[in-house]
Amino acid sequence: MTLRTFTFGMIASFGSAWLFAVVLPFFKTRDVKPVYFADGIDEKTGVYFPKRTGQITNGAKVYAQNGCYVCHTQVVRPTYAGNDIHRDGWAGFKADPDRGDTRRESNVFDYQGEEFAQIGIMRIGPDLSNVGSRYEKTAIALNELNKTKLGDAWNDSMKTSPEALLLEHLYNPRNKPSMRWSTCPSVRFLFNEPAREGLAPSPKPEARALVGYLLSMKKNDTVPASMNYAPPKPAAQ
Amino acid sequence: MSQEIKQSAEQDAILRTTIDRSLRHPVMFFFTSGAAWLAVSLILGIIATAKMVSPEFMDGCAWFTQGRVFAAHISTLVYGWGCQAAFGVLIWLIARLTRQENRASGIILAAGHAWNLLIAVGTFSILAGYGTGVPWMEFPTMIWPALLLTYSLIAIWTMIQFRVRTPGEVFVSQWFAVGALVWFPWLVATAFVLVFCVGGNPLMSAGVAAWFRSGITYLFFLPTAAAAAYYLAPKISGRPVHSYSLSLIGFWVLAAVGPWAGMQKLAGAPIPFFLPYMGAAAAVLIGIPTIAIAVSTLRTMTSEPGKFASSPALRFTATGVVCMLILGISSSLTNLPNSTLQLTQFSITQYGMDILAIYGSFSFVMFGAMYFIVPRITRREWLSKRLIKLHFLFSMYGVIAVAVLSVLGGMLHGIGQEDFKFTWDSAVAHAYPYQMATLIAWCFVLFSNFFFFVHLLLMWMRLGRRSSHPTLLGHAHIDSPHGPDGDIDNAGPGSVIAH
Repeated sequence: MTLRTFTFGMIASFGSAWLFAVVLPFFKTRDVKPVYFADGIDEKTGVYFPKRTGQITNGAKVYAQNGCYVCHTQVVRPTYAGNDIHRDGWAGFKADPDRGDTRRESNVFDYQGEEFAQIGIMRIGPDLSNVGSRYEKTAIALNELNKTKLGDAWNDSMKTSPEALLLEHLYNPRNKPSMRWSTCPSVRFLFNEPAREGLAPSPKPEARALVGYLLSMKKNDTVPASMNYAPPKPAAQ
Repeated sequence: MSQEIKQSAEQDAILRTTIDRSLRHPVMFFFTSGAAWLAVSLILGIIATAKMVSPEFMDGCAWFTQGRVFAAHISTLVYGWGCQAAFGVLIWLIARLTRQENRASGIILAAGHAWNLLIAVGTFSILAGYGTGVPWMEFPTMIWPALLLTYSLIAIWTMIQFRVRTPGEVFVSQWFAVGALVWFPWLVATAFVLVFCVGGNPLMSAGVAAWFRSGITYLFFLPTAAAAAYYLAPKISGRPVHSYSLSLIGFWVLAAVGPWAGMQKLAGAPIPFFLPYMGAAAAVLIGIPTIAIAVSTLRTMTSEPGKFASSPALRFTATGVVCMLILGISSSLTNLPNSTLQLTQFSITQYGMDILAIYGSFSFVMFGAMYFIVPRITRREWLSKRLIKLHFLFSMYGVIAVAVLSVLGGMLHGIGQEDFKFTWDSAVAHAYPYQMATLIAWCFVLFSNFFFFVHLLLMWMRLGRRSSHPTLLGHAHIDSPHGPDGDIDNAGPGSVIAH
């Protein structure tokens, strides 16, 4: 093999893959085109405008710096690529009290506001695409439970927020008997130690940002039917 | 006539000694500091695995939180150990194959120090919580251009040597070596520019990072290992490379298929559909070049059973090539869309494959190359047969355990993940025993590499045996792969007619 053939072959083989599988797709996907609700099919009309609130940029940084992506993923795969949709709470809820089946796979708008989509490496822990909704649901259920348990003694100041639950989990992932199996590391270095015994540890700004970021991950909005490959919903009564 | 042959053989020996001497300091520096980083990486790997098994271990300690330690473990393994071992072997190989002494050893040595400094700063940054969060590119953003610059200082002289060599045929070993030297900066520069400099779609940034990871594995570590294997096998056995056409297939299929692989890790994510499928197809086809490389190098090595049995370099190289074969076949079997890909995409298989690639296939061939190169450049023989055997056995058992447990255990982990009728803790329980076994296996590997590091350090300090008999694993020295008098002419260059 001469040097000329060798050089040409090297550039042709690597260059074509580099161009067509990496560089061109990268620049072609830089600007995502808006998706519209279709008249007659969707309940809404106009352009799909996904909303995501919370300290996303700062929280994503804390998430990245502490390597959460090693054990957690952020993608709900369509059914052809995995069974993620069927996992309880991962893709939405099968029986949402208001909207019925809200499960859907990840779409390109779910990652807005982030510089790097933390798809993740391994799933030692559960997927986090919908962790915000899961914690909201848990908080509501917990409050309902306490309300019935306490009866008249209950007042609204006793309410637990999803933030508080998530902070508790971050401080000690194995705090509940049902979570004893968890191998999640504690990030208690993101908290200030309590000034005296009996007080709860107060979160540092990083912990608040992380919680804001995690709670912003929800799959609770209505997406256009053209983007929704979830199992077909039963016809409205 | 015989006088002429004798004279040219003498000149040959002198030339080889000159080349070896010109590269002694940079190559030994890369090997020794690489081995030190390997030890650091193994300790970090043990901490990371221990924390996966027992999360209470060093819990709540910011510097050693699971995610940071894991990132530091992989980064030191890839850039601290892997890259430095590869640089050492590649610059020596090209110098020997192009038959030119290296005239820039001072610059390479300085660049090597800079590389180590950058890796150290990067690793501390990751542990201190300044990592970027991009898998395999966790070093802070500023480190990357500096690493590229340092790399160009290390590799440019080798590329010049390749360019100005005596014209003629390019050897098989050289294709792979030059391939690795060209693909590495191309991969790093592309990933750095697209992920950190040009703001893109976050998903495509993740896709580029996945492509980069696969590229470093299959287009840098794998060809470097192949280059060393294609050099050592004919050199030690004294036979020509088994099949030229098979090697040709191995190289060009790798070059054509390798760069497409990687994005199968994003199967199901909202990126253009053809990318994950193309990646999966390429990852499946990676089996072909590994089979071609393994068959032709192993056939060459085993063509001389006596030398194969006694040479430590060949023993390590052969094990590395077998691991490469296992890696290629596992890649074919674990990346089938709609069947195994969904089981392995997010299971511990990924880690097992990375370890099989970096430690199993690549590092074993590098150890083989080091057992061959170090005596030549230090002009001392390895001190102890027993230390070499210890290194070999514990490393082999360790890496086989890590790879088999993670790849197969990963499949079961994936089955647990996919079985949505059970709660998530059952999926975690599927992986747990395999992680425990991985921890024990890592301890074996660390144990073996401690002895290797000490042995290498002694060689670097030139405390090796002053002898013309190479340290072999067999009993008799009659089977010496370097002829009855050995290859190391300690009496001075040109005093021994080498093979």
